[in-house]
Amino acid sequence: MVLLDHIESMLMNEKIENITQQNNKSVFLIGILIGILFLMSAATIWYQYKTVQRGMYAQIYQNGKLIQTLSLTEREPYTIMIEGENGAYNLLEIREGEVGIVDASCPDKLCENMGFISQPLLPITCLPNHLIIQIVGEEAYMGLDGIAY
Amino acid sequence: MNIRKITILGLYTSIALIVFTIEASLPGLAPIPGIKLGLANIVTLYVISNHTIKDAFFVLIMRIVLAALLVGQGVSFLYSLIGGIFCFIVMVFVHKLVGGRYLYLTSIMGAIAHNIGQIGVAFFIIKLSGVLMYTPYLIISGIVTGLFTGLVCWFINRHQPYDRYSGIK
Repeated sequence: MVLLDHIESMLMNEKIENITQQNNKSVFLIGILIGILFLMSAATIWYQYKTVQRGMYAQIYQNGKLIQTLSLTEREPYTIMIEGENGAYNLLEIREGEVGIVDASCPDKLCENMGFISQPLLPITCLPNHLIIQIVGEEAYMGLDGIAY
Repeated sequence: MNIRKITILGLYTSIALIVFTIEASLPGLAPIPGIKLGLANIVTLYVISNHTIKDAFFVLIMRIVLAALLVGQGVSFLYSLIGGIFCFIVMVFVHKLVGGRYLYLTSIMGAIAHNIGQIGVAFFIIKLSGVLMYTPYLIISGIVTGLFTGLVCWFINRHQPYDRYSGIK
């Protein structure tokens, strides 16, 4: 706290006025809060990567509803077209063990840039077309894991 | 609201709008939806720290509405509106709490609130818990980008000689 004040007053080249003890306490608490949030997020990501398993199925959700479940065990790559409202479309390519979007009508193309996913870590999301593709393992597909809804 | 104030706030709104439009046309930083620098927040933070909260809210809402007309794609308006209001409330709160210093703390908390607000909207629209998987990534990106925008605003404040005396309080 003292160090931060010192650096700031040195850079600002002026005296700090009207700072109460209460303010200093808040700065400390907010700093701690940001630190905790950072550590929790980092730990979550680390934990997810550590415990991840290979997925067996890709679930395609549109507007919150599961519309298709695809097996990722096909050897030959193939594509399927998911159409939405007002001419929105996403072209999916399914390869052995992975799935990705290769063409889409959305303006930002974020879903294409996410590339191919093969693990249940992060779903592919196309927000403009309300489409989510997530990978699930065997157990999730059997209905033991309530990840949807 | 006199003419001088209207002009100044209009100027801030247009600066924010230009920055927002340029940023929207750049490719994303990372292939995860929601990760962006949030450069337009520099303007909001600047107005909070140098003018009144009411002025800052005016600039923010005008920027979001006009940006929706310029670069919007329907649903993105809801994302930026909810994210912007979340961010604004938290930034005002933190700014008061820390007594107006350490703008980067303010903007980090604001960026985190913005990202969490957007996840909330995505969850509300898509109704799938899969979108919550993005939360840790978006919190970390909020800390990094918030630190960046906060430092930018902090350096602007450091190098402005006259604005505090322009009578726009």
